[in-house]
Amino acid sequence: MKQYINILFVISLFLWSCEEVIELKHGKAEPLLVVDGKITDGPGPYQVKLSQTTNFNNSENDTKVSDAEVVISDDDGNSETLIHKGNGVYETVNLQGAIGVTYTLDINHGGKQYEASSTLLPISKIDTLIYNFEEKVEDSTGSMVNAYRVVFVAPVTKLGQINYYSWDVYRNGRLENKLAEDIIVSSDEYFGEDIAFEFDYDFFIDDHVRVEMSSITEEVYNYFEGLDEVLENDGGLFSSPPANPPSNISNGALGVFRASSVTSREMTIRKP
Amino acid sequence: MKFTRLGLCLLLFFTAFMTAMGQSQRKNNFTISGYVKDRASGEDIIGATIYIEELKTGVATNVYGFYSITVPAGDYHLQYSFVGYKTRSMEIALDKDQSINIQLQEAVVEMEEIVISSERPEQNVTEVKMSTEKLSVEKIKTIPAMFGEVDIIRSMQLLPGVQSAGEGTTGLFVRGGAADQTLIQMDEATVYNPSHFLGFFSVFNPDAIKEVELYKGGIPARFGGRISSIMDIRMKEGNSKKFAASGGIGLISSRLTLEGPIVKDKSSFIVSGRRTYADVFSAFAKDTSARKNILYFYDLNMKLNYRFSDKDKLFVSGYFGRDKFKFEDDFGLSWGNKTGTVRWNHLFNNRLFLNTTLLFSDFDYNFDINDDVLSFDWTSNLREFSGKLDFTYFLNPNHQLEFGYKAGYFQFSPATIKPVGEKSVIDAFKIDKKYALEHGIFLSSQSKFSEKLSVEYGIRYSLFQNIGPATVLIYGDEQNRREDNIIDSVKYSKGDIYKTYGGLEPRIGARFMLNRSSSIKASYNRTRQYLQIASNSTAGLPIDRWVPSDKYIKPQISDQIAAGYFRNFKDNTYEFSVETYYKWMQNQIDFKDQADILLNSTIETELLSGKGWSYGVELLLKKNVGKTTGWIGYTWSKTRRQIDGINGGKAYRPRYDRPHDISVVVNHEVSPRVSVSANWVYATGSAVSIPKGKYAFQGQPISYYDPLDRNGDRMPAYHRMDLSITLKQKKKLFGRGQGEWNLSVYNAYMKKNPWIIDYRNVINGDPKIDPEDNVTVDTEEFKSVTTYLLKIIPSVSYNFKF
Repeated sequence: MKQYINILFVISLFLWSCEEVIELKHGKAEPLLVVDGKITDGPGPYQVKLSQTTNFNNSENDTKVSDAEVVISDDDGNSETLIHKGNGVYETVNLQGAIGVTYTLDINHGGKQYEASSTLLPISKIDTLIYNFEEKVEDSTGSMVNAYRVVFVAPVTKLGQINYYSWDVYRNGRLENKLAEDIIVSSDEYFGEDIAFEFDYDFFIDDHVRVEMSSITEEVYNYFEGLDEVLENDGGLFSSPPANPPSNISNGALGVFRASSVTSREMTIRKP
Repeated sequence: MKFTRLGLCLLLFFTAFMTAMGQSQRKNNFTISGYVKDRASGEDIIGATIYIEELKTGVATNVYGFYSITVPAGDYHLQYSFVGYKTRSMEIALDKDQSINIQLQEAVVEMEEIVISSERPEQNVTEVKMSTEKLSVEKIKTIPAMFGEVDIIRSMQLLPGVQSAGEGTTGLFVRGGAADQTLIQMDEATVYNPSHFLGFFSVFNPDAIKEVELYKGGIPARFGGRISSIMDIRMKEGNSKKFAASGGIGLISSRLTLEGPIVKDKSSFIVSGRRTYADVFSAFAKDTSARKNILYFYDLNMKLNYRFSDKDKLFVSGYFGRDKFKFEDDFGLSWGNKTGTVRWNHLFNNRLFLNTTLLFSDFDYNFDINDDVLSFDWTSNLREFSGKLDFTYFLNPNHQLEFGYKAGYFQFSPATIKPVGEKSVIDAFKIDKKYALEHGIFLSSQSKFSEKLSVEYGIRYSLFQNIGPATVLIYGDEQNRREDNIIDSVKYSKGDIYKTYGGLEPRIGARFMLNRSSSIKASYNRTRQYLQIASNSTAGLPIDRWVPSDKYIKPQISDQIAAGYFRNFKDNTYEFSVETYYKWMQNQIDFKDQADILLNSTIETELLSGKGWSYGVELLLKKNVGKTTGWIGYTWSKTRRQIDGINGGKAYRPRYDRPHDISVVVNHEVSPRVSVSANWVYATGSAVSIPKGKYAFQGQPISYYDPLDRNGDRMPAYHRMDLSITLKQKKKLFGRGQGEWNLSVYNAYMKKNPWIIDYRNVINGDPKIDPEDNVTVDTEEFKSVTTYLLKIIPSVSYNFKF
């Protein structure tokens, strides 16, 4: 519910405050490996992106890592070495993700070994995707058009445990929530028979909408929640003291390695 | 309740013992006792001194305005005095017990010369009490205020040893303690959340308050329940002489107070209300949709008292306040406190005074979210019912005893969530209620060993019990509690006591007079705390969750030693003090990174505990009388916490560790009609973590923090000056009333004090540009962005009284 409190602050801030860029002493830290790897039950190739942290005031936000050895293996003893495609992106060739399998990522870089594993959990289907009229907004030509919001409903299969999910929303094939701050994750802990909510994006007539829902493990969910906390952090006055998101990668590396089962549903917004 | 019975037995024993002792001494001694009151309003005066010249001895009135002094028969000159009041002298021939009720008249500045006599109050030097700051509301009202809203908590933050978490927060961080380690009580009822509007204002309407006392150390044995400090707020009783009305119209709120006698000199009432203008904040909004928002708060204070006889007085007081917030039709949040006090003062005889109190406190908040399939209603509530007995026994002028017993019942309902509407997919959800009992029994004595040495020593025994119904989870490893490691649960039925904590809390203080105008003092106290706020942020929020000690959350314990030198100059015109303290705190709690607190029914899995310590030096130079009054305070302090699992187990600074803290508060009466005030504050920047690097993730730069350097950096230093001028109207309002204008400027030299700092992409060097704005992006860089709050706030208010 912190999001609602945040809105409250935003309102009060906007009334009384102003913002400025400030120069602070950031010190220096040893470069750390950052991993962003994903394997799904959809078709490959799957990607693992590697980079390193950099000084706060550097013009680049990270340093790409191109000289690592990256291997993904499953719990049946199959393994595959990923190929560096440039710019710190490593790709699989033949690997196909499957539900119920635990995948392990091994990275050898700069004389250090890193390891992470993630289980590809099953996912329920989105059984309803609908759109509701939200409001009239001005389009780029200045005329008023109807904006719609998309709501999905998916049944929850609670097997005595909490399930974790992430969502991706596409408009006409373009990912709407592509930045880290737009990541949508939830658990079904406080939901009853169905999990459902409305996405915060306006859609217009003739837009094609595709919603992808993915299973994630609790570890991965905690990582994304932690990532959101860092992005939203105010330095510890009203939020918690800032901390790096809890990574599932060993040996002090940052980032996350996730395995997900993906389901999707699509529709086109029609003239009423 | 075995313990309750034990407590009562002990009390009866003390009572009998005192009465017996009193009688044995009675032969040649007689007692002078009574109440000291304000002549104009009939309000009791707390801490007025009664001095017998011939014996060079005296006593002070207790918190109910009562005094008693027993001395040998003889002819005496008595002096009744109190700061800001004219001293009254009288001669008596003491040959029997006498009851003397005295009314003191407030001194006006023009009469200053008469007021200053050789017997000026010098209590701060002579009393044993140290580490205590007392401010009258009259004094607080002269301090320039933000938006012109006189704020009691904000004024306390100007005193040495008291830190604030940042601009716009009401928490009091006293001598290295957290905000929830200060007990805030109004007419002895606990106020669990003293903030309005997310902390910009406090819940105390200045018009209803008589005075505030803050105990930073040397905490008397009669107080318990918090380890750091006690903020004791007393409400006005209401004018028992004549009907009076007062009020004010300000930028943010309006106030109205009505008071007067019900039966003259026997019974009086006061009703005081305050409300902010409906949605004044959102009305300023540039965005028209924001004008649909609702945002206001109000307070209502009431007090009635009835004097049955000189021996029996009854007080009933209450507070009710609420904040309401509604953001368009999407969500609403409201929260508020309720307190109630019923107090009966009874004099068994002229030396034994009993105060019996029944107390009620309630804090609740309510969320309602109207978001289609996610609509729900969320309520949370904390309730306390307490009762206590406090005896004061005036043995002889050199010896005074206080003893008593307090019992409290607590009920915690952290969260109940209900889906709203047919479409809602939210599951009804509830965190189990928790129940607890807390008891405290105390005895304290004030003894004067010689002209030079006075000692106050006391002991408190506190006991805390978790009671059923409850379900206690058992973890495989008690030290490393995880949700996936729950191996069993134990059910307890209603009334079962399933966990008990308790312990002694010794308190001792001594004063040694060096000469007539200077003294040294020292104190030690141990305090225990059984309730705390579970929060990993520093500033308080209305949704903060109070949790009781239980099987996994051990009570907090603090030991503090303090020593000080007190000296008055120039015939007590100036008061100077320097105090130093060291404090050890056990079982301090903090939370794991990314802790889930609000809706967690297994909060013990997120909690870590360890120790804390704090030390410092506080200097205070004060001028209480004359045309120019005020104080200069300086504090140097250091606070650390060390908790396994946080910061790699190394000691770290809490955010509110701010080594240097200066405040200057000045009020000057230019003429009887015009007075000006100024204050200036300086504090080292809050301890924070600044990113040590960055990395990219999903197309966005992310701050990297050193996990072994929590709060190792500092915000820029904070400083600010506020000014105000008060002009009394020459013309009487409607023939008899008095009106005054107050103009104030908050942050007069427009210091841009960083309130929060965040780290994000900034387009073209301007943090106000939104990525969705239609601008040409020349540069997009990851930068530190600071938010300044309240650059300069001029305000005007009008106050009146009839």
